[in-house]
Amino acid sequence: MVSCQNIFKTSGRLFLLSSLIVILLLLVSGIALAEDDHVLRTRARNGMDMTTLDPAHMIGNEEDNIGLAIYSRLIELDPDDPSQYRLDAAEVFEVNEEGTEIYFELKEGIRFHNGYGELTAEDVKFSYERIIDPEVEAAYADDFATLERVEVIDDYSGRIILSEVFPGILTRTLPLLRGSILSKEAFIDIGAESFATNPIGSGPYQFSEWRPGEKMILTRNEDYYRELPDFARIEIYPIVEEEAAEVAFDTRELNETRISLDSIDRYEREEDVNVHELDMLRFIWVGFNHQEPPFDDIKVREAMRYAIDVDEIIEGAFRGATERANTLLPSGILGHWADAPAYQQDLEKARELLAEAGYSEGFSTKLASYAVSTELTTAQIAQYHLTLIGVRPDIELIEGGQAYPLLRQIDRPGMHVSSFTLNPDPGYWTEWYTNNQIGSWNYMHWENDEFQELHDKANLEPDPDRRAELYGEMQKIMDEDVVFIPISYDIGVHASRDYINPIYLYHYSLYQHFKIVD
Amino acid sequence: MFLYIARRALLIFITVLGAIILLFILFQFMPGDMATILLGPRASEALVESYRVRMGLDQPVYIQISRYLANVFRGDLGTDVLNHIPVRRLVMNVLPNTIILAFSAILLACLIGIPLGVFSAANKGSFFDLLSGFLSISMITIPHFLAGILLLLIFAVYLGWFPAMGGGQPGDMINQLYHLVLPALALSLGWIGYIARLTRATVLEELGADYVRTARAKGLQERVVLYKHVLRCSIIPVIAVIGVGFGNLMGGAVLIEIVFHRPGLGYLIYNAIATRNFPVLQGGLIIAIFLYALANFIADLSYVFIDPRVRGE
Repeated sequence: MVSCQNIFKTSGRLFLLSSLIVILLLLVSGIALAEDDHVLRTRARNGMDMTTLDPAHMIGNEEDNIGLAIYSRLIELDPDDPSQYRLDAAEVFEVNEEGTEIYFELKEGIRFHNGYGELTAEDVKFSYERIIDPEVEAAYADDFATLERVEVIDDYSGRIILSEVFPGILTRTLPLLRGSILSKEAFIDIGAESFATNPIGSGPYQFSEWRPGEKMILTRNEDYYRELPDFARIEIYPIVEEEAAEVAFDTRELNETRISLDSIDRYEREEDVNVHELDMLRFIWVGFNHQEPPFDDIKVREAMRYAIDVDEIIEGAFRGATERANTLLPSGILGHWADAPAYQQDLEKARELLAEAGYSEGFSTKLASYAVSTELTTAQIAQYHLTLIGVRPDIELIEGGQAYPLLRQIDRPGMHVSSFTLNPDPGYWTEWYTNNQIGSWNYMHWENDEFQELHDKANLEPDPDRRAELYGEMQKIMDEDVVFIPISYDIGVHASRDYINPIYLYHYSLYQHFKIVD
Repeated sequence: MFLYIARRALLIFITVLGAIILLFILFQFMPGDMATILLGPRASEALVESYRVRMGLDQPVYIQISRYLANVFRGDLGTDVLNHIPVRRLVMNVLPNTIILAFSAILLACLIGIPLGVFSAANKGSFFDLLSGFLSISMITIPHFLAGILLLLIFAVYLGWFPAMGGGQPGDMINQLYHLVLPALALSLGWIGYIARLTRATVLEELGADYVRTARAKGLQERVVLYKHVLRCSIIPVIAVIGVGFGNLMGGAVLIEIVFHRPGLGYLIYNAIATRNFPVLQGGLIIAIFLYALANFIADLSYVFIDPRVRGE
């Protein structure tokens, strides 16, 4: 035996050293893993790291949640009844009868973070007019579609002047991200480029630190003008994989996170975990190109509607965790068509319709789908249903960058499974199916002048009841024309430890309203 | 020797240059328009066009490549178009984490793998040799990410000994070391097995050499023969493998960083893919290529110092 003793001696020393290190680490581990009840540790929305917190350029994901926590707005949506708004920085907020002027008075004494002074009407003017400034190139400037100017009356009052009525300003603009009020002084001082990652607002939290790829940290604004939030600090982790976030939640390194549909049962069984279902404002449908055969024939589209069993898709792709969609607008959004027909699978009828359209032998087609779990499973189940009536769809996997140019092609025949994430204004839901969007975001390339006319009319209608009627009519037209087969509004499921009472508004996490409970 | 180093340096330079050009060309074939993807669905055509101009995407490919190369050689990897942060800064922020992870894994692999290999060779055919062989092959065949998930489940979820995510608090070395244990172990497992097998094979080969017999005949202690003479000659292929394998290790680090949500170059690249942030993706990949080439260069240089025959050339 060759020098085993010596080797063991060396290995023994190494082992001893390693053991000491491990013991030391285990000792500190107790401290490191100890939970701090006053720190909310959560996964960033969709696991994405932030890019910019400039409200003119924010396009979604976690920026939405952070923006709602760090900026004040004149009004905000009531989380208990999102169809209503309530006052935030405004003390008085009055819309004139024509709906073209909004008079506001600000609460006095609202301070911006980091000593940037008091929030005034001049800051409101700066923040809103900046978004419609063509030089700023705000991607979502249309959130302020008809904003003409903001008049400053004095430090604490002003008037928002619209060139035309724009009901969306009260549902999707002022109460959400585009309505964020920046500190003009800070913006000029810090500079536009740096402001994107060093934002100054006056909300309940201030943005403290961003470690790219690791976490974003918010700290409570102790000078906040309304009730102070419960959590002193929020750490947001951009964990791309949902499963990795679940592991971190299991080890208590996160205390709130989105979970997968497959994990709902597991977390519901855990005693100290609460599971919450969120309305994602995301509409998923199976669509077809109306401009090209065979889907230019309404009988073929009707046949598809009778062939596809939406309930089975809800069970298979969404684990039965969400309700099926029967129309475009979900309940809770103005104009929801509650009596929309829920078509059931009827293969006999589907075959008859196909035969009437001259396709008694069926046909081959393409079914494009994103490689996203729910959408791909939807496509696969729909594919199976269609084969039952002789239609042979080939699933074509599409990636984000490839999807836009592909589905925009008017001369590309076939079907697709797609989805849009929307906002609380119904006009924002109908916009993408108008004639104006053909060759762009109207993937069905569906043309209907009456629908376009009603859409334009509803967008300028100040009376909510009349507006709801108009949207109802529009959804009936969609149903008659079989524009698409509505599948689901999707669902987001979050889990939190039982000492947290989280508050969500649609898919937004309202960190400022998260409560610590006994 | 100088000529040898110069030749190697030139080869590395050409390799990196070629890789950057190839990478740039591959980016041209990626589906979709970068500006559209970055700006999201509601951006107007005019705005998309404006961003395309700003990103230089309206220029012919050869101009884009030459501009990009000139910038890279000036140390400018571009700018994140949405938040205006230089890509170089983003990469440099996370690069130390990846380097520390990779080196820790290599160190761990050498510390365990080399003695294991020598021990197996010195005791060829024994039970320990067979056991070591079985364990080594098992470690080689387990993919990094699977090892990471298993370690995560055992030591973080069930035992709760180690954290499941993060790189630790900046400035707190113990905390960072504590966060490094599982990722480094997961990344090193395959390499422990590989280095052990390689060391065993090369030591066995050397043990039959004349100089070993001479050394033994001179009455040198077996430990001295093994560690001073045999190991020194046997280590060259191991170093070569470590050099070449550093690239694979970087690939493994990407997955390990994702599994452990650990900030690093791999995670940055992965995130850039997920957010379609092409400038960051491009910059991250270039640094990864550069590191890969650098590791090979250092491995080549190390031969000069270890093997007198290379010095003689």
